[in-house]
Amino acid sequence: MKLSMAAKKRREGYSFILPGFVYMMIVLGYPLIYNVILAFRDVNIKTFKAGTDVFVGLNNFITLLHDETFLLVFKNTFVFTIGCLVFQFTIGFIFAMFFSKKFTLAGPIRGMVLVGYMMPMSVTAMLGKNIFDVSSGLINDLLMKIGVISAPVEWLLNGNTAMASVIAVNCWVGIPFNMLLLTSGLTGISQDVYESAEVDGANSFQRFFYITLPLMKSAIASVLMLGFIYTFKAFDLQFVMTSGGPLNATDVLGTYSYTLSFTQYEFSMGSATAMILFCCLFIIGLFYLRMISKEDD
Amino acid sequence: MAKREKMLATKSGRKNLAYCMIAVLVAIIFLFPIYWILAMSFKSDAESFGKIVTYYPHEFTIDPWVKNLSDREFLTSLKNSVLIAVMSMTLSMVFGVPAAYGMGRYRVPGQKAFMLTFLVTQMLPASLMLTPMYLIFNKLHLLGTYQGPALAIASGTVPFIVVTLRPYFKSVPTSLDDAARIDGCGVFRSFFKIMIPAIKTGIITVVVISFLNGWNDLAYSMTFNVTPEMRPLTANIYKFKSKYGTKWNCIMAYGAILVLPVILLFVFLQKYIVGGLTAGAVKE
Amino acid sequence: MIKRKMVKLTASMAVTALVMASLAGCGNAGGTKSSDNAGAEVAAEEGTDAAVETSDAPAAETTEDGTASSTEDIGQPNGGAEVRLWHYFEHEAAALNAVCKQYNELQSNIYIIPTFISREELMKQYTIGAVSGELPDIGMVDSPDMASYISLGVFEDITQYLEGWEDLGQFYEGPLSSCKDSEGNLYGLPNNSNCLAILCNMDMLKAAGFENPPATWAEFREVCEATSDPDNGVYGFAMCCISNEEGTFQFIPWLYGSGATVATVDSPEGVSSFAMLSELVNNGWMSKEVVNWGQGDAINAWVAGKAAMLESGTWQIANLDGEFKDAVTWEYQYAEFPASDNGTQATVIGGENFGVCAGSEYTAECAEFLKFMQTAENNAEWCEVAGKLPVRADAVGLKDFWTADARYKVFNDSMEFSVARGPHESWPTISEALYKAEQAAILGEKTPEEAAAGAAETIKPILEKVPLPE
Repeated sequence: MKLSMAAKKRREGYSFILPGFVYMMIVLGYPLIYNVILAFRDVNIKTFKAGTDVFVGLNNFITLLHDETFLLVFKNTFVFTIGCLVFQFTIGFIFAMFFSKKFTLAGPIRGMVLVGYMMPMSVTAMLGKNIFDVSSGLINDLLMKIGVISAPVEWLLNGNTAMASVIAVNCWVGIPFNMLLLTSGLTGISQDVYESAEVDGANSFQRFFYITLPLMKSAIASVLMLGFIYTFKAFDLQFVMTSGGPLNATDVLGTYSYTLSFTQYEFSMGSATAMILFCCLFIIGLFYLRMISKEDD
Repeated sequence: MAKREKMLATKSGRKNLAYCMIAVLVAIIFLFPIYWILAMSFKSDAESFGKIVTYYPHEFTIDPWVKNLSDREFLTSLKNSVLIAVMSMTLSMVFGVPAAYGMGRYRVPGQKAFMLTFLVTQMLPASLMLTPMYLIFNKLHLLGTYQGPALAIASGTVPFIVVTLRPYFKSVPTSLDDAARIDGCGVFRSFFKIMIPAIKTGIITVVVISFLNGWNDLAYSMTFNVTPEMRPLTANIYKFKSKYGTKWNCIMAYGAILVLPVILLFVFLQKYIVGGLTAGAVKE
Repeated sequence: MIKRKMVKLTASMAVTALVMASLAGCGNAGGTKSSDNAGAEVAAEEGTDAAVETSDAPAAETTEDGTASSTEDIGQPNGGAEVRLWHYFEHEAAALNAVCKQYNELQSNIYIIPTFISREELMKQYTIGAVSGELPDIGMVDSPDMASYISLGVFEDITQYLEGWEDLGQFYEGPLSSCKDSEGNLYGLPNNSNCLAILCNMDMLKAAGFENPPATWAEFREVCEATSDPDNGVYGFAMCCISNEEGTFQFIPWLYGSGATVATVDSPEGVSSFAMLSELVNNGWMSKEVVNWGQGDAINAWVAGKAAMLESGTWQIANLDGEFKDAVTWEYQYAEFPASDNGTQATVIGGENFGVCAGSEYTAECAEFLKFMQTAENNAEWCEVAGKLPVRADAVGLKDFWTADARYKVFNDSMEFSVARGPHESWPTISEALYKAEQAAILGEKTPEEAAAGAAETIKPILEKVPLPE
């Protein structure tokens, strides 16, 4: 009786979980496996059409590693990710500290600034393109008005400044998000801890380094890892704002994979690039998952 | 206790004001881009690509909005955006909510693997899936349809729903559905009649974010649907880049219309969205 | 502790992977099933979906919507089989519809329905169509791209339908060769030709002390220097250097004008063409933003008075007479491309071809339509309405606007020294190497020498296998 009850429960449980799980396996799992297969074959528009693609082992990866553009793109992806992380994390942390204070507008404004995060990235990217425009852009006009620069900067026409511009726009989206995540960590710290530290005569620096940081360790780690995952896979921003240009200077793995697959129709090369993107994410993701499951137990 | 709190409050009255002012400044900086989109969208052609940057529309005009809203191509894209968002949202809900319930309230063999799958898949980027999905969808004749992007987008939203709603379902007291069972409610009836209403907040959150996931999508819709007639607004704003050249006012009016639902949802349902983002991103 | 957890985690991941693999093991069967599943899931939406489809157009083709033509434009259905024609003519769409209408009323074997799709999307459609088989019956294509589409199998060999056609001899060899594969089989017919020349804002030139457009690169530099005012956003010259075929198209006159060819892009002459363009930018005579400009953006800049000279195409005469009529308040003049320092003068041939797509059930009927469209009379008529140059010798004599109108005459005369791109089945790759090198030189990322060498590195191995036609 009891056994069949458990079996019944199990069947119920599966009947709820499995449709969603199977959906994921079919719509996401199967393409994922297929992507691996593609990366080791030579599928392009011609071989796909004729059905003459063959297994080529690691050839696609070897080609990529000898491709100057790919190496640049690989470097760009890290420059972009790390650049974004540094700014959005530090500024986000400062804001989080600020907004975790108890004052009237803390709640509403903390929520309000998140609207940038919810906006379609393609609109944000168009906006970035507009404000960083050489002749009619807001940034040049502002900087010239306050006297930081004397002549317009060709933000999006020069490799390094284009990367800086893309990072800046991404930070506009990333800072509020980092702030939100860190705030929820900060508000978790009991106010009593600070108060007793204050009684003990700890100044605000000591309080920050000896109380806040250690208590926030896991929140910080998870924000950084999530930030890495979200930033590393960027696609929309570069695609719309710079099309990866000028001359691949802002191309990242995501956009380059798209270019290989859908403007050059070298599907296998696109898949191989995506595989490399996936592996980088997977390594970070493993750490993240390990942390989550540690907290889960 | 209460007295002490009151004292603290008055002491920090001035501090409160100072903090509020800084906060407003931060808000202005972060909301400025939204203002900029709107301001640009009401400028005349000449003003929008003039050499002098104006900070508000000197010649206020609604032409850019009229131009977009009376353009048939625009209306088609709008229809596509709504269809793709609603379809992907429905798909995600149909598969995600029951799975979240199952994960939250049952213990079944393999649960750990299921959870891991949902956590992993939530992190997979669209750019990774584009090539294989494209070739598979090509064989299934799903390119150039609404179903293609909707299926793909939902594959990112389903795990989000599971991760977000699971703790909600977990927190519902067992006594509630036990009582329902005793009243003779079947499992599925109690799921719909008792559980879903019990976690209304969570449901609103995932509905809103699922919709926005579809509404904001660019990568899938742009790749699977190549004709402008089947593309949503997000993909066609990209196209306008070359078509309009530097007619920023028209592009920004287009962007404003695209952002409008996001802002509306945000204004009215802010707490749900913020809650959902935190829950979905950081653990549970 | 941690280690044990890691093992546990890896194990559960392995399980996940196994489940995935076993599912994938079903291979295509699994995939197909997924579509059925998906179909069922999506059925919930079917209501809305179907409603939208029916409210749209009776012919529920994915591509048909706002851009399909009404029966008023193309004539009432004539009882013939529906035949789809895809094109990217924007300003010329009405003229094209008129041709289709004429043919629809003339016969009743086929009923032609033209649909506009933007150039970039159309190119994608063909490539995808080559795989999925979803192609129109008749397709328009930019002439240098035709060879690569022929090799992909997008177009049908229609040699047999054209063999006995005595008019074939009247077609110019250049445009016609772009419709052929390497064995000489015909896959379509050329529709029109165009080329590039220099459009001058004579008010600006005269204000700077020049009565005539520049005839040499040296004079061209002088005019640029005298008319540029970068502080006010005014430049001597504007062109399109965007990273696609348009960028290559606009670069060819400089490359060939220098005395180099695509095959000798890294010769001293070739280097001098890159040097010329980077000089324009470095001296403030041309905006760096040209790397983001399509030909439409470039003419916008010229019309806005931001450039004294523009690299402009034949079809833009129609724009100057149309949408830009009121905006252009100054005197303007077209001039042939200036001759380089060694006296070479060149421009580039552009143009569109129409072909019958693979898999069409009405190949013979469609080929008949192409012949109708390209009779001498129709070709001449079409070119006058759409602002193009004819593709057959006997059409030239039927009209006189290309000699009577001074603007067209410049283009007509320029055809003497104009070069074709390709035909070559790897032209898209060659083209990419060219526009990338051009952009690198303009942006200062590479010296002219490095840019030229970079292009040659890609191009030479391709041409070693299959050389460009002479």
